[in-house]
Amino acid sequence: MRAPTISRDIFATRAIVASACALFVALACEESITAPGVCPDFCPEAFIEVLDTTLTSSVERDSAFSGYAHAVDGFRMQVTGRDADIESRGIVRFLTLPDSILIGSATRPIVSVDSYTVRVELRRRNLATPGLEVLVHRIPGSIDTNTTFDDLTPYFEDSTIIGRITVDDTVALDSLFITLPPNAFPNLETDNFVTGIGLSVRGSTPTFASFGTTEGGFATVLTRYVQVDSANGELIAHSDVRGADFDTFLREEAVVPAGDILVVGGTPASRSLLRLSIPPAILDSSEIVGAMLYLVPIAPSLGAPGDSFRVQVDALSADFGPKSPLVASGGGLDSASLLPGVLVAVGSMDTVALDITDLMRVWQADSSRPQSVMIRITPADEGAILAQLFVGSSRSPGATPLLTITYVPPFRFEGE
Amino acid sequence: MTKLSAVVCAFVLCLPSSVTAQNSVYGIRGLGFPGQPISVRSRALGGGWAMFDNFSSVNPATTASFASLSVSAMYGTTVRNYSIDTTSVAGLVETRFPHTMLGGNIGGTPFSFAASLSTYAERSFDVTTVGTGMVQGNPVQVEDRVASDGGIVDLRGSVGWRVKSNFLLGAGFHVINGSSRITASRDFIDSQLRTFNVDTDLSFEGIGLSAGVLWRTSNSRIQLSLAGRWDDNLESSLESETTTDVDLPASVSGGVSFRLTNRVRWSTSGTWRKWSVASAELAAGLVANPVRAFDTWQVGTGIELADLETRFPLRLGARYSTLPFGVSEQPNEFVISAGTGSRFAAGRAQIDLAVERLMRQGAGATERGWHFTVGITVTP
Repeated sequence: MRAPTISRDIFATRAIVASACALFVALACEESITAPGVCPDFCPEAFIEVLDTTLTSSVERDSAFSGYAHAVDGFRMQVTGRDADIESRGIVRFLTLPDSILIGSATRPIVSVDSYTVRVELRRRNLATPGLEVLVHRIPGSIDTNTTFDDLTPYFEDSTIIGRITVDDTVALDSLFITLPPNAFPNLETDNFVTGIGLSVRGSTPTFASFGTTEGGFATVLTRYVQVDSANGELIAHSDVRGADFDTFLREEAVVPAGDILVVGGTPASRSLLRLSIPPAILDSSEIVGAMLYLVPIAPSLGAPGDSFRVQVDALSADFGPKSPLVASGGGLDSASLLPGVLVAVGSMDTVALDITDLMRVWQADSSRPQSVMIRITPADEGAILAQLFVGSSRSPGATPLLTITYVPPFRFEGE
Repeated sequence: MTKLSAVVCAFVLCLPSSVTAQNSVYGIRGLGFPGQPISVRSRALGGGWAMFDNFSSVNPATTASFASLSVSAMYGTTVRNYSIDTTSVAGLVETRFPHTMLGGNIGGTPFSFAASLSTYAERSFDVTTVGTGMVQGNPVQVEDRVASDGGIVDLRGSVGWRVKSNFLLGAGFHVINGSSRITASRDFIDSQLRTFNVDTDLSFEGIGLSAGVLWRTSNSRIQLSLAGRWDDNLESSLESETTTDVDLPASVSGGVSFRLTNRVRWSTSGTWRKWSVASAELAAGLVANPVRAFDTWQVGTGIELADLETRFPLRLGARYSTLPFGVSEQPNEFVISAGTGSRFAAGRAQIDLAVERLMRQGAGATERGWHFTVGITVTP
């Protein structure tokens, strides 16, 4: 039995239909209409108009507040030399050393001290200044949060130096091991086995070094190497390690500008709260592509010689004045409102330009958020560095904060 | 399932999501690039058959030619390139659904109805430019992109009256609407300024009326037709806010067709549109470089070689049009076309194919392209 055959005409029709479908499917798979414009005759008349405005009175009710972070809370301690504009000294008190050593189940007396080693964590320095030398001073073990810079001045003379180390000029981050002599702490017993050291630095020119602290997870450590009388009369070597139970840095008072100004940084750390008033015409009906907050210094920024610091602007999740919760502190806003900040060199009088574009866009999207910002130095540096910025407030003639907004007004299209 | 419901289902299934036709560099300015509300067969004939074609939406009198329920849809792809001064662009491809038609007779009466959906103006483009802008008094290099996706469509409902076997009258009501999604962005190159980006919908609304007449000799050797169309303002709204009214053109069309032999038919149609009425509104609001709207002529002619025994008729045509929108001068278009078609499914369905060679020029630009269309007509 023969299979049914398809007529030639039907076959031809089906072939054409199939071919046409295949051709069109192949062509339709691609869609490409993007092309360079040739203006003005062959460009769409779309008006992307970019406007700038500088608002000289957009900052209102601004104030500086101090006490956000103290040196004793700092993640580092910044030490400068005597020749710096602001001298600062690191101080460390170690946990109590034992007066005897437990060997086996018996406590054995210490016969003699061989030496001490102090391990200091160098976290940052000015690499432009060669010949950095870190000096260890013997200071009383009675130091605490009430100890002042002046209290310890006698203990930072050359006569109190019990150890020193010269840091390689290429090293900015390292553990420094400084050996101290056996008699480094002669009053150990009368001080109830509590030891304290001071840290100072020297360089070929004024310089600084930042050392780790307990708060920052890089505490200074003291190791004592001793000889212990064993039970059978033999001397055996032993060591015990003590970490810091108190560390901070003390700074001399600096002459700061007077007046109704805004201050950022320093110890204790200051922050400045600025409340902005943005014209509704810009905020409500335009797209902001750039917004810069300009802060005008009224005096050179203070700090360690050769240092620089980052100034940042934080959004507030609610405006409660100086205790306002910051977005960066978990205020509940999205990360888009966290802004990168700008680097400022110590001694600079340059205008500080802070990019707040993303923040302004957040305000556009949510009008319930307070149009206030907190200016501060990077949180990791608050209480850890000397740097301090002095800028004009809204009440400072000729140095008021400025806000420049670059925006695109409502889009217009051809025929509109 | 009744015959009517089957056709309605087929029509609905054929309704495209994007009823727009091929684009052009000449469609960037103004309302867009004018569409051709004609069937694949008429396209292959250079538009010359459009005034006599009940599957085209030019002459409502042809609605009376629907003797039974039918639905047709077409699908077209354009491949084109253009050059303007030293700028040459190649490989632009678009696929659209330019025309769909449903028609049928009203219960054995001399009256018939039709509904069609076709492109009025295609507004899809995506243009990027690089230039320099000033920000805070400083020059900044910028890259702008303006894209539009969509078009203006013409929904026509028409009634045809077969007054005599050789004399047809018809009238149509047009709802003109549609929208285009406009995206505009500006990138500030080597700048910390953020990218500007906006998406907005530009929608259109308008109405129109059309009427036509078709006369043929008793043996259908000669056919003559005449049609007119009046369109009201086109109201455009940006994000539901009325922005402008643009006057739409009135138009007059005429056609003549001769059956030269039993196998050969020659047809010619022409249309004049008073597009210049749109000029003032299109230029409104522009501070510089306003687009102009010109009155347009379109003349198409074609010859079809076929008879009842021919499974694959040969269709050849040519069309010349002046185009409505330009800044400096009026551009024009010349199209050469060819096509064929075939019935299948026991004569209840037909497939038509057309290929057009597009040549456009004027206002400092030249554009070349191919337009491929395939149409399916079903008569259950």
